[in-house]
Amino acid sequence: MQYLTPSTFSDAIKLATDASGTSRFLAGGTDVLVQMRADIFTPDLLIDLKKIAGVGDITREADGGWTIGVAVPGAVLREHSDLGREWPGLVEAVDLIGSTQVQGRATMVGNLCNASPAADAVPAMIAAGAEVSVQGPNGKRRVPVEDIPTGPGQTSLAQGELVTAVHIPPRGTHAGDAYQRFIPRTEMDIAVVGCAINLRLDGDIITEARVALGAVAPTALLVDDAANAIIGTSLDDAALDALSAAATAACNPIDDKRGTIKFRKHIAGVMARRVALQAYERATAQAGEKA
Amino acid sequence: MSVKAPLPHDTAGLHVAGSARYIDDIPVPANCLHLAFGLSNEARGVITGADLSAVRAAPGVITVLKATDLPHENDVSAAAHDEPLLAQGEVFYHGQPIFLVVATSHLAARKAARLANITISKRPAIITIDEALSANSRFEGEALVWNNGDAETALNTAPRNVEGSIEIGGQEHFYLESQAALAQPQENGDMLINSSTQHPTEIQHKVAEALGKPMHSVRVESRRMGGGFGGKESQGNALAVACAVAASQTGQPCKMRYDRDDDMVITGKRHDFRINYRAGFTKDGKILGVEFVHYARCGWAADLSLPVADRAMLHADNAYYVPAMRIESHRLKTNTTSATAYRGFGGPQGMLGMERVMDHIAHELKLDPAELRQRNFYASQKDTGPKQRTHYNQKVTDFELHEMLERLTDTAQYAARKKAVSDWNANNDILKKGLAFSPLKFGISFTLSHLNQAGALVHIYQDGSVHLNHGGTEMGQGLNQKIAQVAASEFGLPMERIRITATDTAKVPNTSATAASSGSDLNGMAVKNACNKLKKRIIRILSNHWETTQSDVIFTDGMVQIGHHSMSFDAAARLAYESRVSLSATGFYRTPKLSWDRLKGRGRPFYYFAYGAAITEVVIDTLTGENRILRTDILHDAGTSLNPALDIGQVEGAYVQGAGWLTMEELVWDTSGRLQTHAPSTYKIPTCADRPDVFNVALWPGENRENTIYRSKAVGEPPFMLGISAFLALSDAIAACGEIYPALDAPATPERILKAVNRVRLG
Repeated sequence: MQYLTPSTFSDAIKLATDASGTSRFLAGGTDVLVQMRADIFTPDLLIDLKKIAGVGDITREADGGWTIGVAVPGAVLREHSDLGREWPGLVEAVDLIGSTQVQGRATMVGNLCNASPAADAVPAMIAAGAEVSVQGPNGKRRVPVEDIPTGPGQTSLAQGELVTAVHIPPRGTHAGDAYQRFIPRTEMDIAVVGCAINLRLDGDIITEARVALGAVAPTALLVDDAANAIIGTSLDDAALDALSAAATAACNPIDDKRGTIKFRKHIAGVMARRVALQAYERATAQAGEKA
Repeated sequence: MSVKAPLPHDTAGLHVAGSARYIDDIPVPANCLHLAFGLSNEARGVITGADLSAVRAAPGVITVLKATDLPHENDVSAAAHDEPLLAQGEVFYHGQPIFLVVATSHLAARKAARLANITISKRPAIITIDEALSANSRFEGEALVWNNGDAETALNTAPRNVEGSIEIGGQEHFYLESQAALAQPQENGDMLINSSTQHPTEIQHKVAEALGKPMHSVRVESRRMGGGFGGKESQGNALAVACAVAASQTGQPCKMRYDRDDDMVITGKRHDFRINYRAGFTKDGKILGVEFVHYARCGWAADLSLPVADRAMLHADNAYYVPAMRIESHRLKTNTTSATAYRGFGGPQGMLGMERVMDHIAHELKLDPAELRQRNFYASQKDTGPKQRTHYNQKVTDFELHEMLERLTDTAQYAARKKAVSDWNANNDILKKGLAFSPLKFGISFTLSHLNQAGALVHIYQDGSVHLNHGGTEMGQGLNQKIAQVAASEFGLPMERIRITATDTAKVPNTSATAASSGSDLNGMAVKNACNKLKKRIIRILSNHWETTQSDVIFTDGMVQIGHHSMSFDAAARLAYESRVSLSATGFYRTPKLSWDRLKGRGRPFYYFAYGAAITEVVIDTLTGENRILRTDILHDAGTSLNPALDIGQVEGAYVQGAGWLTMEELVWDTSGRLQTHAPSTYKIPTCADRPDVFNVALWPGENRENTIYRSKAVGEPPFMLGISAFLALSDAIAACGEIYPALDAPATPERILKAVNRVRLG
């Protein structure tokens, strides 16, 4: 096995494209290195992205949005002074991944490209409306997060393509996000159901919403029906019931040792309701702050 | 004195620094080979073909062994000779080793093992308790039945009755260090084995059989385990034997460690049980008679299942006097991994059966569950009347729980919190709280009486430093520190003058497993015996030296005093050496007073009982089944604790492990016998954050009434069963959702709690 540290994304892509055997990109390594140690997969070429300029940066853009480097670990995200204030749901979702030790390494992009349906960061990124920059042999493109995973362990990235940055939209005002998951214990676990909601208010009426579910289908889901159930409402009981029903209906989970289909669908409904209330509360509080 | 002092674990610093050596850390010669098993992918069938050519051709592979390549015995069972190292003709569980790969690296061996082309003609596999019952697939031919009094008449004439059934799940040991062994060939065909084992003598025995050698040709050393919990009592045999056979054939050192998934698939776990019960009682809750039927899923081989199932029967009374009891115990043979020893050894399952009965009766009579329990306790040791006897006819002479319950309900403010929980539940629909008390009485001794023996070897060097060895093994519990404290106290020396080295069959022979909580009881006494022999020799020398009588000799503060004369221990050792007196002695101990007939279920299997009491408060989310332990108060009886710091650590860890068994730890086999939960991604043990938010653990200040080592009591297993209080508290919280009894099964996973809540809500 060969280990290389290119200094630009273009070089990294060229290495991957020219490789005769299998190759893997390495950022945090919490998936790749574990797979190698456990003899699940050992690539012929390991391309470390951490020497590329900017991959460890969290940058405020002119429009108020954020660009996050592909090698920014969870611990750095959590300790950032502004990001978590604007996007608490997103940062909390990343913070739920693994243990303290894993947090020092694991990245949002790794969580996305590993393409587990149960990834915690992914529903939160989708709800936030995040996009990623993708670069490959045929140039660059910008892709909504929900279009990256296509199935368990599968992504829409073509051979030689890689994600080069995450873009979080400007927070704006009167808005809030939240992510919660169900696990059978209290920490260091894999979501049985995850739910992220991001919404914006005008007064007490929801004007925009995005609802995403994790671990209940082959990929994280952006559930428009669930969003529509609460847009135009003040999140009254009727809206919450409709949201809950839409979330349950959107699930297409598997029956396995972590949870039965019936249980997961029920939990998705309960989670959606709770997450919506938390996001709504945060949006209300943020509106108060700005005023 | 060093005993009774709360000293830290003797190698805690090494553990934290990462410099404590486990098997995989032992430096090995460069030519060391690495092993991996090829496993059956069927639960039951006949091997019709085994093409291993691709395995042999794989990179790094030195040789591949099948059952027919083994030179002598093909058996790694604890006693029954029914567990081949490598499957011979037939396979009996999914994950059974069929062949052994010997390669230049761990990874090469594992990769090659996957290349085999094994064809197995499937036979109908017996997976569940019900399948085993309908196929009459069992050990011991028939159910073992113990009768004490006339339970049937007691039940039929009792004013009130309850009956029901509880499913009790198994448990993976999840020792942090997975199974591992290393074999290094010595001259003359002898073999040195390093093994992560609780039972070096059994490893020695099985390796000798496999090599066709006497036991004196095999030396087994075990410095420490990264956790055992019973999982390394017999389950390490396969690795040590595999390494020894491969080392013998190749002439090179051989090492084997299971990866976590392999470990979980191959090795045995706690027995899962179903317990059916009928109980008769008075209208104020006094139990008149109980009938239990125990169904134990034992897996494919006998292993330790018979004594495990016996111990479940022995603890069917838990802490309660039951005038009439009948227990029927079915030991079912299934095509699953062979269930084995696990902290409590069947006791937890038997005890949970009885606690379920108590819980059910309390619900039926709407009585306070702690009050009901106390009404049924055995009489206090202070009671002057004739002593009550257990259902196996042992007198209960040391019963502490009346006093312990009184103290614990006071310090835990049981009554006030019971009311607060009830008020909370009246005002909250979604989050419901539960509070529960559970006591424990656990019998101490191996039920196979001859195992209750131990040896020790103590040397005093001419500089006065002491080196000692005993038959017990260190698995993180701090046994070596406790034993060192005993030696330091006996000789009146500071701790740093005592050194305990790795358990070694060449130093102390014919040891029993470090099991049944007996490690410090047995080995502590054996070491004390050796120390006393040496002290007598030193006293004789000093008496001659000072021409004085041998009365009033004191070993203290590094000095030896006889009357007015005094000399440093080191100088005394030097004097003894120069006087040509042996400063090395063996010690021995056998537990007195035991007699036991397991088929009749009569006698005194236990030297004494250890007691404990716990009160646990939980909260459940009735919409998701999520739950948390809010507070736990424990009062535990370790007699006169040899080391309160280590004992409290054992109590805390055992409680969390016990609560994990009954809540989040769930083993799932699919219908074809494949274990679905074979990694931490699917099998959940408690994390640090799953500890109770408030965790008050205290030791009961009482001494053992029997003459144990410094009047201490065994502490390894008993507190595991305090975790039952967490399960009962969950049941209590669910009961707050309606009128009917929750009849909760274990483990109480969130999904199972949610179902029970819905059942109770529907009434």
